Amino acid sequence: MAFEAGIVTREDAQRRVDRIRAFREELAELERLGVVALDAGQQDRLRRFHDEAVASLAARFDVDSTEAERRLSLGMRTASLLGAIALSAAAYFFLYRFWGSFSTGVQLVVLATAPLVAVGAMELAARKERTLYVAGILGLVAVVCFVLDLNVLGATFNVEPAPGAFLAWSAFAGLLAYAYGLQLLLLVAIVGFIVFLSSQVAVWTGYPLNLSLQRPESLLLPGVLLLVMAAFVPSRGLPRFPLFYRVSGLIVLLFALFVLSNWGWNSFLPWPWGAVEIVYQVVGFAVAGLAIAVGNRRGWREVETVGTAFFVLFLFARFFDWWWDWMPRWLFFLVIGTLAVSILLALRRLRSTGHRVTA
Amino acid sequence: MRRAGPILAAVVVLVANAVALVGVARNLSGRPEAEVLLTERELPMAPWSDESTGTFVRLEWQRSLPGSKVEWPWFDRAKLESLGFDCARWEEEVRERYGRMVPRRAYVVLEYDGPAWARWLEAREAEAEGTDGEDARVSASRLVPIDVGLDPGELRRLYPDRSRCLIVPAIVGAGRTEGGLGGKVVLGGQILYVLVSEIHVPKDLGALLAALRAADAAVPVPPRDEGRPGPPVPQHRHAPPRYEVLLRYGVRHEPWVAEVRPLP
Repeated sequence: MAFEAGIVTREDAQRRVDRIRAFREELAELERLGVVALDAGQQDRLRRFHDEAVASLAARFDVDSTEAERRLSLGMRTASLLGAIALSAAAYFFLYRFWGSFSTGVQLVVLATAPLVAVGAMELAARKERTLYVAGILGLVAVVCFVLDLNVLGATFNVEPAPGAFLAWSAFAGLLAYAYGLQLLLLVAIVGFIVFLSSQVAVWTGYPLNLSLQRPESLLLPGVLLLVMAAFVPSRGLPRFPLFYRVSGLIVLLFALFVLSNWGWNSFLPWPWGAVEIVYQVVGFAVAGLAIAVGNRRGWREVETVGTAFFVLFLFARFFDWWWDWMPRWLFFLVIGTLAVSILLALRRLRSTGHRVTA
Repeated sequence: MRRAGPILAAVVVLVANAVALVGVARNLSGRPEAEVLLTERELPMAPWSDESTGTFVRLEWQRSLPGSKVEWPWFDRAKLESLGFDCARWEEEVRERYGRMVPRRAYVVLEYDGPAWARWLEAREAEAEGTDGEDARVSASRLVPIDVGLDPGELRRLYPDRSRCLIVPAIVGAGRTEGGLGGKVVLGGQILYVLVSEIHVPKDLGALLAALRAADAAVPVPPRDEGRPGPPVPQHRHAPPRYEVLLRYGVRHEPWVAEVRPLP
């Protein structure tokens, strides 16, 4: 049908249904105020067209067509998340409770089979239920089973921990996320990718795996790569996926820069810590400023928000370093408060400029 | 992607398991890199809970030389620099602010019941204070670190006795002590932890340990003395030891339990 053109995902369909609901409410208000008056035939055609559109989208994508349905959906999402966590914990404790009773051969078969069975169950659930609540639960259980698989395998054979396991977990979660359009699994895949790459940097440089906590520069590469992936990894039919890459990449990158700009002795750079901090302060401000500008220009609200939050953090950290020791406390907090209001006014101005341009 | 995704995910599971098992097979193949007969002193049972039925023993080794200002006198600044620690930069920074050196991965040589153990025991017995009443001669681990390096092959060339010297991957760091004349800061190396310190005992070798575990579980644990300084008392330390374990290390320096035998 004509109204379904360009609608390929549940999010697209939900946006369309929300627009129809808002249009109906606004039209009713305009009619009440006497601004517009449709004759009975027009009203009837319009109502039938919208009813058909909502019914068709609800049948195809299982969208929420009323406010009550939306509230119920939120409850279902919360319940499915709690269910996934509880089932994953059950799988974890079940395995540890009984695995000592199995011979090594049986352990290997059980460990490798558990995630495969969970993936099979996920596929079956996805075929039966379009909302994917159950498939999402089983997806998280599958990832936990795979994490347990490699962990227990490592413990059984006394294997030294290696970053490769995080790559396998990330790939597994990412493939399931793309197959079923599940954002939570994409988030798991991104976290796995960040841990893998920062640990790999540690291995390359002869440091312990948990180096990223002590040498935040190991987080810079995964941060930058996630931003690149946002632009180049194909996400057809999954419009929110690039947003996850962009926001997580930016948070990781700016977090690492923030730590380095304040605690320079955590750097790999063979310079005096003071010089290291100045370099990372400049880079941090530049990246945060660039995020605000690009986010504003492209309409990426989340990117703009993360950029603004870190820009303010960088600024406050500088003020703390410069003034905290010699300024009276009341004056320090007055300056910070004044600055916060100034930033608010600047952002409002930017916003109103945007409104004028749009108008 | 919709159709291929689950299949590719299953392939990832199978490939990851295969890669892990090939690594295990490589470690187990050929002549063991080291083979040492240890006792409960060096390999006590790891703490357990009712929620886990796996059996593990924990590699115990001496953490420092009693009475020494630094943990090990041989683990000095030169040794730290040979492992890649930038001691000159650390000294520069510590004057301005507290600098920290990030720990590094290295290989540690643990000597079993050799001259290093004799020196350790002598130092311990010379120490009038600080002992907790335990008789180290019958209960303490006789594994003592004697060297550290980046190349396990080179360490094996220096310490060729495979039945006495274990070469294990570990994380080492640098610590400082206000030990010199006039409170001068002395830099010394620290062995922070061995990377595989909990060693799994397969079900077919674990019957004796399972029986001991059940017997230990039946003994009531004494209440913790809150006034007692220092770390908590280790669970069920037995003297004299009740079992011995033939422990082997493979080409990847990963251990496995080859045999568990009761001691008279």
